[in-house]
Amino acid sequence: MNMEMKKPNEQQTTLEIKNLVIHYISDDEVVKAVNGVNIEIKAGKTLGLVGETGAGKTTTALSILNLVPEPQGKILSGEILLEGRSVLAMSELELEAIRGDKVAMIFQDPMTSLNPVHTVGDQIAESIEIHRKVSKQEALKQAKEMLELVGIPSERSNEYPFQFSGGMKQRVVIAIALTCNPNLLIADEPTTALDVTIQAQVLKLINELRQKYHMSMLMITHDLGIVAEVCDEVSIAYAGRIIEHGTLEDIFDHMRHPYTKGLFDALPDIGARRSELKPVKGLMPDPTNLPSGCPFHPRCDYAMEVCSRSVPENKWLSETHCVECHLYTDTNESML
Amino acid sequence: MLKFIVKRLFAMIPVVLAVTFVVFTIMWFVPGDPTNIILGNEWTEAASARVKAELGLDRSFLVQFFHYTANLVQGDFGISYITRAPVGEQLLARFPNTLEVVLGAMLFCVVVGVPIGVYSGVKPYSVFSNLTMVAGLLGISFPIFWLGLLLILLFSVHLGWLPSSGLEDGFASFILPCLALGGNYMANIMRITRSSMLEVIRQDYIRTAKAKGVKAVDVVIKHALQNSMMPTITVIGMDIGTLLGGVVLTETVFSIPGTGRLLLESINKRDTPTVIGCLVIMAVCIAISNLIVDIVYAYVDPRIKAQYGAGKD
Ligand SMILES: Nc1ncnc2c1ncn2[C@@H]1O[C@H](COP(=O)(O)OP(=O)(O)O)[C@@H](O)[C@H]1O
Ligand code: SF4
Ligand SMILES: [Mg+2]
Repeated sequence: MNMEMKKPNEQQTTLEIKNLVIHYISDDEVVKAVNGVNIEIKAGKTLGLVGETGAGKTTTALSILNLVPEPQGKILSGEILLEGRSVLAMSELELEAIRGDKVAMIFQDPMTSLNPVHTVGDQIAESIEIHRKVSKQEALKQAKEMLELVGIPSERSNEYPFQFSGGMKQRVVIAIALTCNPNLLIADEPTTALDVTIQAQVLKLINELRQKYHMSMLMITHDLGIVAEVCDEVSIAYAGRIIEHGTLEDIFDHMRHPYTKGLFDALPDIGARRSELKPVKGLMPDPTNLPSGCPFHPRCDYAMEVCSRSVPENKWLSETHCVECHLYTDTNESML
Repeated sequence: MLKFIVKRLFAMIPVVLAVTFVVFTIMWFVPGDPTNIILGNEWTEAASARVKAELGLDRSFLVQFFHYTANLVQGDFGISYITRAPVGEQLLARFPNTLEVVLGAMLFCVVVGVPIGVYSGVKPYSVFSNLTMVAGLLGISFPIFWLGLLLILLFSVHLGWLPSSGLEDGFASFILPCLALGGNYMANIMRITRSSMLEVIRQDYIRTAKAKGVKAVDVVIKHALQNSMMPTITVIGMDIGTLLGGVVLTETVFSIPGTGRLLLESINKRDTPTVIGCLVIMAVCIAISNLIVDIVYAYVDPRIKAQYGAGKD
């Protein structure tokens, strides 16, 4: 394995996203997918990005590789800095060099993420060949080692994706992502498409490998249980904005935003033997026609008159904890 | 795989027999007495009876069919009513010309149509892509004889670049017939390749490839192409039948001595053995091309190969 150990440098920032705005523009509508996202991940740390489907999580993740689907997806403004270098200013050649090498991504659906006509060994080896500039044989040898590392016997490297189960496929996807020892691993709902019994194994695998190689990670999920297990910090996304951000403790024990509270209330409470889920009431707003003011106001139990008029600004409640909500204009204490 | 091919070759036998039966039946019901044509002016009641006995035409339908098939299995296509020569010899002399025209048209269409389809599928919003779609639409709307005549007018009559008929000029004489015959075919290949590429290029595994850092060109060549080829191969194979049908017109327009024209002439002259011979040859061609398509499938898609190996068709 050619994974040289990297010293985690607490000072260094792996990823910084500032004020990112991404819309999908087609002839008849504009989908406002991402509307001013700010994200920061320090070297070796894991950030959880949590939100309902349609919150703009995948779009944000793809923008880090500058892979927002063309031609509708338009990055309208903002900055994406990868170890200080602006991704959006990179040439196609520079982008190809960082994709899969500095930044790798694990996708949501392992059933469709692998090329059906190439062997899994070839698919892993391809990354190595591109970025390590080694011979095909050497790349295949390393690919086999990688397969073993994710718990698949290396003899199976000649098999095709259709010969693997969903969980095994996701292991292959993980192998592809980790094979060049990226500094930043983006995991976009890596377990959502898997059986519950497999989810824990795959999550454990990702977490172990991440720690072993000191990668930074952006863990996208809507599962707060996963966040509690693997993340250092959490950003809560709603309608293309980060409406609350903090450390695990900030969010789990001192949540401030009504939407964050709604997410926690939606969890099944085993202690209280309350079996039915109580999802956040109402629906995700239509991204082509976002509500005025605070995008959460039509669903918010705490909504005030000002909420439909003006967008709440980001407010830092402590060194680590910030929130976008009018409730905290004059106070840092919980209003929930 | 070998087992699969052998099995498929055997499966072709009943298909060809069925085609023979159908053609035989149709020709049986065609009104008119073949001895009229064979004897012409010398037709008398007695002569007709003699010829019928000689050719076995006085026997029942089933006996005749049985005899024909029994001979056919041994490679004997019978004797032409008109030329009195063995049909097999005629086919042998004519069929290579047809094969050259059909394969030429096919090759031309694939070599030109596939890359255009791929490009316009990858860049669906480009001017080029829209132009090819218009061309494709025109391509499928042109009847062969009309396209053929237009090509002759332009390249033979006006420009004098290419011969308008026969095969005496070698390669040059094949160009116009192939173009005329391939017009529809190429348009189909182009359209199907484009739409299949449009579909494949937005699949998740293409995104995975890009996220690995694969160069844009390689994303298309190494990841998208093979996945997008199934529908194209299907069309290439399926439309062989259409090509063979079209070859009748093409050979007529360009005066090419092939099986297509032979078929047309034999139908006009009620030369039943030759008609059946031509059609059986075409049926065998179609069956073989279907087999080739199935074999190619296996090389393009490992899932299909696995199925063949497992003996499930
Ligand atoms: N290629 C696309 N074209 C148009 N709209 C898109 C496209 N991809 C995503 N969207 C829209 O953008 C919004 C955000 O999507 P996404 O980033 O996938 O959210 P999430 O990952 O949080 O579920 C959704 O409303 C989605 O429908
Ligand atoms: S800003 Fe108003 S509507 Fe939005 S979350 Fe806060 S209280 Fe609710
Ligand atoms: Mg998503």
